[in-house]
Amino acid sequence: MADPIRMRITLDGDIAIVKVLMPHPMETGLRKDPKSDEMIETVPRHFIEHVVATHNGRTVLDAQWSRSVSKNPFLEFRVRGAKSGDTIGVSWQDNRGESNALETVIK
Amino acid sequence: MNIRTPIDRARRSLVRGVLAVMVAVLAPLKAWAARNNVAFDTKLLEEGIAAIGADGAIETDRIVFKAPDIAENSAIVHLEIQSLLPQTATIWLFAEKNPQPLVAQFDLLPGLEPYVAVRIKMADSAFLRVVVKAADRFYFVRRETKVTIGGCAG
Repeated sequence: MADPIRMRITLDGDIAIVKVLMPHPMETGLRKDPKSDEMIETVPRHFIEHVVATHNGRTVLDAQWSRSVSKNPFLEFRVRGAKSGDTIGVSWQDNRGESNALETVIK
Repeated sequence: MNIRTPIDRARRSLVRGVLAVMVAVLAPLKAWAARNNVAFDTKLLEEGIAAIGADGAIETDRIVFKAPDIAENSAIVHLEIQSLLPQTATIWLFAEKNPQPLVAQFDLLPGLEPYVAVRIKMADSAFLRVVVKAADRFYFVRRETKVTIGGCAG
């Protein structure tokens, strides 16, 4: 099981500014070949390929990622019409079928 | 032999309950949008752009794309994208020199501001390209980011 998602939300009027950190290796599988100095595929790829964000249970963002997103991905998005007491959810699924999710109530 | 005890029945209803919960939990995953594998797998920027249907995209200054001129660490390049185009529906991000240039696709649904920030890995100094679909038309903007430490490992 991956480490929990971390989420920080700040309200700016009716806009929720959501910053998310998703602990994940985001392994590209690529390493530099000492002989040729080329990048070669040596270990299995392991990366988040799908991220969904919700506001009060309704999907607001649906993202597809490649292995080029940085390790422990950072994502920021902004939700309109948000207020204190609303919930923001983030879930991810990786190329091995592992997944994680977190729901946070806006303070 | 095959006599069902109350414990059997309790176990059966427990199994049914667990299955129902699993179905309820997994159902939303199935509803997730299909991945454009052709666009994500292609090794050439132009083919990736074609695969999302954006070969006729128009260059615009109405996409605010913040990318560093020089990235100290090619494994963590912080990018911010804000579209000023009405009815922005989808944002794509490409890194021209990466093994597969398409880095991310963001589908924006009602209620989301047309803004995302994300951190990416760059294989080499390259042009980064943002493509936006807004009101069923395609637009793009590009920025050159130089990396001082090469490599895209890990």
